[in-house]
Amino acid sequence: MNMDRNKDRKKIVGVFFVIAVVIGVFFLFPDLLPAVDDAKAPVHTYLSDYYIENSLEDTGAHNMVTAVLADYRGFDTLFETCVMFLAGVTALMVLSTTAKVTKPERSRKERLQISFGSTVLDIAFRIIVPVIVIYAFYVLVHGELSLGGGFQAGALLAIAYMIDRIIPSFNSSLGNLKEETAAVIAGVGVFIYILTGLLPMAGSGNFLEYGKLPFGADTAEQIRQLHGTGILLIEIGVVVCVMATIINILEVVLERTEFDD
Amino acid sequence: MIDIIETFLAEKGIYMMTFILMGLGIFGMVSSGNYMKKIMCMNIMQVSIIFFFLALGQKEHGTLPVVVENLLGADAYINPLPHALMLTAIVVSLGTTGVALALLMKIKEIYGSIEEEDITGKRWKK
Repeated sequence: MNMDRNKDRKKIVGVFFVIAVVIGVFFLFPDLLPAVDDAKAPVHTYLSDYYIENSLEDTGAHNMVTAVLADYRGFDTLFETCVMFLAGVTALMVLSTTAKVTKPERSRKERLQISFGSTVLDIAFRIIVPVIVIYAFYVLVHGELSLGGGFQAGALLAIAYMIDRIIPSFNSSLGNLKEETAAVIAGVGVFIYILTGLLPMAGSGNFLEYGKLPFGADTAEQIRQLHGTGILLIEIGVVVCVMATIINILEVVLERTEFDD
Repeated sequence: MIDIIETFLAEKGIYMMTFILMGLGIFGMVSSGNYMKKIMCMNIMQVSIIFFFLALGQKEHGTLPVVVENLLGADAYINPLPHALMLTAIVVSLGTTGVALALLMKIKEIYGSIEEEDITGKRWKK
C-alpha cells in the first residue's frame, strides 16, 4: 500500500515535470512557432495558396479538402486505404488461432433485460440507425460539393452497424457479417479504387488522371465533370474499405471477448 | 506583465496545450505498466498531433475550405492541406489501435495478463 502511494507520487511529479518543461520551452523560445491566426505564416504559402485558388478550376470540387485528398494526392489516399485494409487483415490474422467464445442463446426477454437497461434508450437507438445510414450516404455523395467525404461516410456506416450489433435487444436487422466476409469486402473497396485509377489509362491518360476517363469529354466543362465522377468513384471505394475494415476489427475482437453483461 | 502573458496565450496558447497533451501521452506510455493504458496514451498522443496540425491550418478571418461564389483569394479560406493530412492520420490511428487491440488479446491469451510486471517478471524499483 505504501509502495503504491510512493509510485503515485512519483507519477504526479513526472506529470508536473512534463508540463513545466513544455511551458519553459515555449517561454524560452518565443519565435519557435508562428501565431495561431497569422495568415502570413510559412504554412500558408506556395502550395496551399495554389490549392485554394485553383482547386475549383482544376478538379471541379467545391470542397478543397476533398480536392486535395482525392485528386491532387490520389496516390496518398490510395495507400492510406491499403493501410486500412492491411490493418483489418492483420487483426484477423493475429487472432485467427484464438478460440472463439460461444455466447449463450438468449430469449428476447432476457436480451431486453441485459440491454442498455431502459426501453427508452433501446427504442431511441432503433430510430437512430436508419437516420445515420441516410446521413452517411448524404456525406458520401456531397463529398466534393460541400462538407463530407469517403472516410467520414465509412465511419458513419460502421457506427450504424456497430449499434445494431452491440445492443442486444435488437433482432439484428442489418444481418451479421462474418469477419472473413468483412475482410473480403474491404479488399473489394481497394479494388474499386485501383480500378478507377486504371480506367483513365484506357483513354490514354495516366494513373488516377480523372480528366481522361473514357466517357467521352471534349469541352473543359465536361472534363471538370469527369473529375467529379472520378472523385465520387474512389470515394465509394474508400467508403466500402473503411466501413468493412471497422466492422472486421469489431467482429474479430467481439467474437473472442467475454462480456459480463 | 499580464499583457505579455495574454498575448502569449492568444498566439501560442493552443500550441502549448497540444504539446502538453503530447508530453503527457508519451509520459503515460513510458510510465504505465498496463498495456491497455499504454494504447490509450498512444491515442492521446495521436489526438494531440491532430490538434496541433488543425491549429496550424487556421487563418484570421478565414472561412471553411469550401469554395463560395464570388469569394476568391487564398486569404479568405483556411488552409485545406492540414485538414486533408489529418483526415488520413485519423484513419491510420484507427488502424493502429485495431491491430494493437488484437495483439493485446493475443498477449492476454498467452500470458494470462496484460500487466508488464507479470509478463516480464521484473519489478521496477519503487
